[in-house]
Amino acid sequence: MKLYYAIRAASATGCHIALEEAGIPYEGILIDWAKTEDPDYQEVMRISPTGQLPVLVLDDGSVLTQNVSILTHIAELAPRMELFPRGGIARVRALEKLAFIATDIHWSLGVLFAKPIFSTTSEQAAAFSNFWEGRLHKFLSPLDRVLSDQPYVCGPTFTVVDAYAFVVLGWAKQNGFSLERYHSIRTFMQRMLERPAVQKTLAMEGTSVEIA
Amino acid sequence: MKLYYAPTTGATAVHIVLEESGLLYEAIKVNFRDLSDPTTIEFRALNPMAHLPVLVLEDGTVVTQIVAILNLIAERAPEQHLMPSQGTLAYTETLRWLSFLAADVHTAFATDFAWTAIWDNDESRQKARAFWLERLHRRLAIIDEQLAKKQFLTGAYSVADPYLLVIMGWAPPTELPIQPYPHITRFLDEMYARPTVRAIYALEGIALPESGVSP
Repeated sequence: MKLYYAIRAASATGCHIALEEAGIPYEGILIDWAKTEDPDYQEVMRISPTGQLPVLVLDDGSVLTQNVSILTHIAELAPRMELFPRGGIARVRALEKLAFIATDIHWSLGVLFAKPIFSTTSEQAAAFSNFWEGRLHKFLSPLDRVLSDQPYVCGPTFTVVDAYAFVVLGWAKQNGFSLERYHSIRTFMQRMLERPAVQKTLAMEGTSVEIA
Repeated sequence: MKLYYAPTTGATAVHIVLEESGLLYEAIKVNFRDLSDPTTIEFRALNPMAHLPVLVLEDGTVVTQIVAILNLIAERAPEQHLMPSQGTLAYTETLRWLSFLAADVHTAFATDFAWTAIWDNDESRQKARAFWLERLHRRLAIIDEQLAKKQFLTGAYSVADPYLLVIMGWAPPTELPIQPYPHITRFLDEMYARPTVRAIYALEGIALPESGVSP
């Protein structure tokens, strides 16, 4: 099994952490978007037509994309680790959280990276921040409430959803967006930073995730 | 089960899937603009983020997020084969397409709507729109390529198809031409011919294209 992940702790780092937590053998391949001549880069462009990462290539050659399907698949490969509920209302609830991270949180934190491209004047930058940061607060408040009741996004124990949430929440710092008012989110991120699999993955990637 | 919906939103896709599932349900229309409407108040209490769709189960459990809701309905109506069984690679593949629609296509349309809210019709707005529409086109090209090979998004009909149908309904208000995608337009015409789609569109008051969308 091969996981293609990107530089600067992009969302594929969540899948990378999940693989480490699962304890299953895999090969991690780093993609640097600037190195277009690199054979690994060209391979990613060939198997993932949108050029999006993560990409997981299974041993039989099947290609998986999308965090939601890769993360749930990794959990299924290591059933004893209980990284995602297997059925019932617990699974529906976990899928709900996973989709919330993949759409609302990933999207609104990810858009912040576009701010310098589209804001040539300070008025434009202010309008941009006003809108997107307002939206982010709408999504982060319920997440903070969830994490004030329980240590992990889906309940008392770690799931693959946490790995994903942790990585995208790290984008706040990269974009200068403060999480100061979200005490429980910050505590969650600290808890994640203390996990050996997280430390190992970040060290292997030569990157860091910081709490904003 | 109770579904809270507003016409032409992602909840319309859930509405179609509920109709096809044969399960008992009640559909409740929400008027976002009228904050004093009792239904709106009830809905906002269930989901403070005020996002649709919202599904309330018999025991009062509230489920949000279209990906989770579609999974739940498919699982409750196994004889309708609305999604492959969990644990198979076919299931993971369906989840991949559902997630692609929710995380990459749905949000790309929503981002485009946002630029209008952020900036007046100036250079910034046009630059941002052009950037996002280019992204959106790349993603639609992938869907078109897939529909060139398969009748439906994942081969056999699944819950992902009504979702794609509803999302493509946002192309006209976005002034996004869909004629460059002959396989998507073929798919839309087939979807518009489905009795369940016609019934739900009529019920929600959504107009069907009169002469089809294929060129």
